[in-house]
Amino acid sequence: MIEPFRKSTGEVLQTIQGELSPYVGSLMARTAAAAHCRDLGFYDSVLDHQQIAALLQKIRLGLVIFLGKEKTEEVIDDMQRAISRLGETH
Amino acid sequence: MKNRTLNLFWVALAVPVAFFAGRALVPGAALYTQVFPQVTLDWLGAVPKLVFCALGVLGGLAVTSRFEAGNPSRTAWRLWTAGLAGTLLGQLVLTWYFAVEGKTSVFPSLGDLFFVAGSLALIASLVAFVRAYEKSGFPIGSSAERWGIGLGAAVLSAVLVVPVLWPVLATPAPPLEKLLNMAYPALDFLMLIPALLLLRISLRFWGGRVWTVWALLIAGILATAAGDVLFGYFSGLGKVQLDALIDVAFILGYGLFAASVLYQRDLLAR
Repeated sequence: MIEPFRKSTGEVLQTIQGELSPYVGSLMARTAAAAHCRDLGFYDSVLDHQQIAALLQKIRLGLVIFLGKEKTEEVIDDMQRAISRLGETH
Repeated sequence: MKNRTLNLFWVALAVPVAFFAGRALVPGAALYTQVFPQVTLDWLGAVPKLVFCALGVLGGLAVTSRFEAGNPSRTAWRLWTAGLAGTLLGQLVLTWYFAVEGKTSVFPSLGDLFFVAGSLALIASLVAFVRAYEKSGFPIGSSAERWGIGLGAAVLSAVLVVPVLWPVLATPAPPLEKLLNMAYPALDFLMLIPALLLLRISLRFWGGRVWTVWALLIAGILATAAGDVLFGYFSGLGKVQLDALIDVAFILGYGLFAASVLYQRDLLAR
């Protein structure tokens, strides 16, 4: 049976911050990730696959203004890979 | 840019800035009165300005092309590049007068048409950057905060611009000359309004590569604004001893513009 894709919200946000901060600084990385999560109404301690995809899409739309489409895709790919390496939360 | 190229760029900027800063501080030094004749000093002032403006334009074209169509940043960078191109054309006209006709202080000239058009494009680009950043959805502060900063910057600019330019305004001069002497610093202070807004927004990006680009760009705006004010005093009040300081301000300003564009180009590189 395939395990459901569920990751700790805190760990996901921390991973996103880690990937974003070289570009937008640690303060903006932290506040942007948390603000996007809040805007999407994700308050639970775990995020599923769809929620993570929605969160990354929101970050992608903002980041493209600063980095352009190509570089943004590269950064988002790195984020996705880093998130998928996180352990599952049940 | 590789580290070595980057270091080379900063050295290329620091050398002429230090050279003319030295001339401003010790104008009677043998280096400036005996070693280098006036015509060499004029070339040493003109070439870095042209090179840094040209670098800024080339870098700006690369940056613009890397933002996809429909991205609001593409419009903003295109306007910024157009503004730098106007400045480059203005500098080329001034260099032409001095290289071909041997005139070093032609004012007003055809170059002023390009300088003014360039300044207007730069202001439009800064407004376009603010609007683009608003669309990013990143937490860059409330609309009320931005209005407050914008109005505050406008008041600050007015408070600064009137007393600084009053002596220039009060001096008898042909109308076009007087108009341009007022217009340049006024355009710079107008530019300061969106620039301060962008500075406030950029502070939220402190420590990131986006911040570096904006810190350089805003420092460049401040340096060229200082250069325009000094030029107003130089041409309006005949304060020729400001010559070297004007070179410092413009070489530094154009160099910082070029640096910001090159850092942005690196930021977009895959």
